[in-house]
Amino acid sequence: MPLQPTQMNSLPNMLDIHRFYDLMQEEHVILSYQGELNGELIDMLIQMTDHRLTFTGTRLRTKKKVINILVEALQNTYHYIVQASDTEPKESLILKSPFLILAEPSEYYAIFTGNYITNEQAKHLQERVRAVEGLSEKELQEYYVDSLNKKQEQLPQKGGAGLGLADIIRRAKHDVSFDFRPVDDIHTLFSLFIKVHKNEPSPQSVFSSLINPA
Amino acid sequence: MKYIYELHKVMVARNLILVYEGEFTQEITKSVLAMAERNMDTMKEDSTVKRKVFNIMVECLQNIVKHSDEINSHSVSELNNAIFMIGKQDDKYIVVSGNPIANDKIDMLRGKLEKINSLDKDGLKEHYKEVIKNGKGLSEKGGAGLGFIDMARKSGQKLQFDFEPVNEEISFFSLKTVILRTNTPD
Amino acid sequence: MENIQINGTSKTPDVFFDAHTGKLEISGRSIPENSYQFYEPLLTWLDNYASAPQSETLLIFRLDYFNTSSSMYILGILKKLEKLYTAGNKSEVKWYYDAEDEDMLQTGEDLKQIVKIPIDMVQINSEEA
Repeated sequence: MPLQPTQMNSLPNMLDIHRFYDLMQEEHVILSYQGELNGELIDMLIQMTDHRLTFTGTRLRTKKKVINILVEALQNTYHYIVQASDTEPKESLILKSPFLILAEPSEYYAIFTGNYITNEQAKHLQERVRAVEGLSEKELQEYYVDSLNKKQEQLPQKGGAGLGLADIIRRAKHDVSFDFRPVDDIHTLFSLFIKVHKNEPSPQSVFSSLINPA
Repeated sequence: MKYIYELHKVMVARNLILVYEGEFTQEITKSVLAMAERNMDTMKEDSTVKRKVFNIMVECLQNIVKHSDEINSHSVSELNNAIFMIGKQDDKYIVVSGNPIANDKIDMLRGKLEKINSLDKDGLKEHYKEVIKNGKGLSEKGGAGLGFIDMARKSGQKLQFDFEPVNEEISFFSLKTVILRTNTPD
Repeated sequence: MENIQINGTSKTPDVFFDAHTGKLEISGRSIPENSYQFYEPLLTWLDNYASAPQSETLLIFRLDYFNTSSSMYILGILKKLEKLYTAGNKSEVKWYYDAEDEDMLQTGEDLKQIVKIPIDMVQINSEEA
């Protein structure tokens, strides 16, 4: 159950800790982080997730997908971090930190990431999303191969391949939703909600037809 | 996953930096500590505050592990999962743990915590020495005597706690410690 | 010519490029947020190697995880080897993937489409090991 607005004003009091725990349980949340992100912190989030998934005996196929998607999603976030302006009060900066919520309902892992970007960046990102969102498996592959190929002319010294979103969609088998929510005059909250299903056929049955067409 | 946005809103409203739910293995405990520490480094937190928060987290996490060992010996289910969170406001950090404990441990725990909360700074120091001298803090399994005293001393604030019944055998024990970021007593 | 030997970290792979045997191996995790720093020296090394290669060159990728940022450079490395191959030097690529890792297999297949050098897909089974 969502907590009432009046209960959300301060750090949890004792009664609420239990309620908050219930909410987490209900949503099957394992891990949440909200705050500064840098290479090291991303690395730690990855390692924590790795330990957790290994400890709970998650199937290797699922674990690899979850970790790879986390890497792309968090690194994508990292490339879009809003630079803090000096005029903004400190609290609002914490509120505008990127976040990650990882949940595990019985059938799948859910990865929910978000970060605050400028409306300008949002426009640019929306175009990127539009370019890949509706693509079929085959078209995504072409997009991926083309983009990789184009990058070879001049390997960039900074930043990623611009392939993170396409990569996430491919790995998650299209179970990804993108969301852009205007926050104020300057900022948009960009979030990604990704599901990695636990029970999928093994790669053999999926790909053998592609590799060795009958 | 209906309320995941709600959950996020709660986390934002409360400035919860890190929340972990599950079993606290050694590796997970290490990761949780490392993340919280790195977060504070990145935010250029004052080193005295950082050390206090870190030490309190260590005690808190050890408590979780200790209690879950006891519970595991006589019941099995995901009820064993514990929760740990750390939050930050302009003027303070909070470290919160929640974990199941056996009902027959409640009176003893409550007694210890109430005793600790009744003491002032000097009283806590005396109490600490006493417990060490008697060797109680070490030998008594699940006693957590020294850990709580240490948390109270480092925090300089009362420990807040609560027991919520889960079933006939188990209750959910929440413990919250506050670390002020300004005028920290030492 | 000097060999390259780099120990892996939580973000970067183990690398062993042996100039004397022509065996070049990259294994482990490759997930740095910025891959240029890590891969640029490898590409430079390959340029030097190409001026006096061994009679046979074997390039091995045995990766557990990699990100899209690394994939640009992995392709970059393959392109260098492709040059060697098309110039008539005997070269071979082995791309290892776990039986459970369909995405690693897929990437291998993608790369195969881009470069004109034989890539041998080798399945391993780490869960049974």
